[in-house]
Amino acid sequence: MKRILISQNETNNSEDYVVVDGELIQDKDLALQYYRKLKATDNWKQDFKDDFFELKSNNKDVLIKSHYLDEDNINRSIYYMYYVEGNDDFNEILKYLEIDSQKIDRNIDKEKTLEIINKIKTNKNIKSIFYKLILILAAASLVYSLFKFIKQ
Amino acid sequence: MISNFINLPLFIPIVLWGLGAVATATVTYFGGRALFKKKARTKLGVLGMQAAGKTRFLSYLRNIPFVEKETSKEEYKPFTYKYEKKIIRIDTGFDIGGGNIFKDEYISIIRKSDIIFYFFDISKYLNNKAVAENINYNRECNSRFELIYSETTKIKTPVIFIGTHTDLCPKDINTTRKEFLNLIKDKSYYSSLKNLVTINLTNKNEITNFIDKIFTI
Repeated sequence: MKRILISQNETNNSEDYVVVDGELIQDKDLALQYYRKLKATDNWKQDFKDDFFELKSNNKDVLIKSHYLDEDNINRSIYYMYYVEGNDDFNEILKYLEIDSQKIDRNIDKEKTLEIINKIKTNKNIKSIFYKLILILAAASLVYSLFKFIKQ
Repeated sequence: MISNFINLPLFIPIVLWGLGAVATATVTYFGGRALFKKKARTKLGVLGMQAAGKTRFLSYLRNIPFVEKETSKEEYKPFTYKYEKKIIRIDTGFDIGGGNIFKDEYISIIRKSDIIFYFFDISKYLNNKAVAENINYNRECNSRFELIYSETTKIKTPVIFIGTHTDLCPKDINTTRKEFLNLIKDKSYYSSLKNLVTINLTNKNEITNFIDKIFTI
């Protein structure tokens, strides 16, 4: 499971933090390579977006964009982008997000993030039930039509 | 009737001269090119340094409240900007952060955009107090001026450089502009920055005037 965390420097000195699998990347060229990996997510499906949180996914790869509780030197909430490859288990993703964020001394709003993730999960479940229901109804109507046709 | 015919040859050059003067004045202000071509949607490229006012500018254009938070990379949907009887349709685009890492997006954004806005904090650029920090800011800013100048010149995309935070500049606007231009007078991009717009983006009148001026062209 590859994890890439990108966040702004708190002093607004143009330098960004890139943390890969829990290691802070110092090499600027390497950091740029990791950022380019995130650029590929521009075309991914957007599962959720509001003022605080954005979630995109592609199969089992996930991208989260949000803001930390911490603020920069001009009192703006600090952003982060978190890319996780090959794992869509949100409990695990959140656990790693917290660990990786500690590397740059940042804190996520866990309660709010969890609340949103649960909402997304519930919506997904509702959608899944809805699709299943439609499928069942379509199958039932097909069976009924066939039955009617045979009877004639 | 006869007198009308007599005056006509004189009248036409005067009108043409007048129209030419107005067009030259407005186009020169924004760097020698028409900004909004007649097309279905205009694509904006909003670039700049951190905390320079990119998101504030976009929020104003989109008529949405501005929230004090640092931007990573956010896609905005197409929107319309209404000015008097004019309706300007703006295409979808990205509001990107000002950190170094996002410089990787510049060339692609410049090539896809019809017009480029570049924001930087002129008060920070001219600040002589925090020397080390100031040198870094100016270096980073200059490297982006260079990149934008060379790319936009190649593909002839109009660009507007905007020096923000004028309210934090200790001197008056004319002196501030002069001081800034003096610092970059030997640089290749000087010609592009001669028409620099200086603005305090927290002043509603200034931002309204600026945007109206852009959209009247």
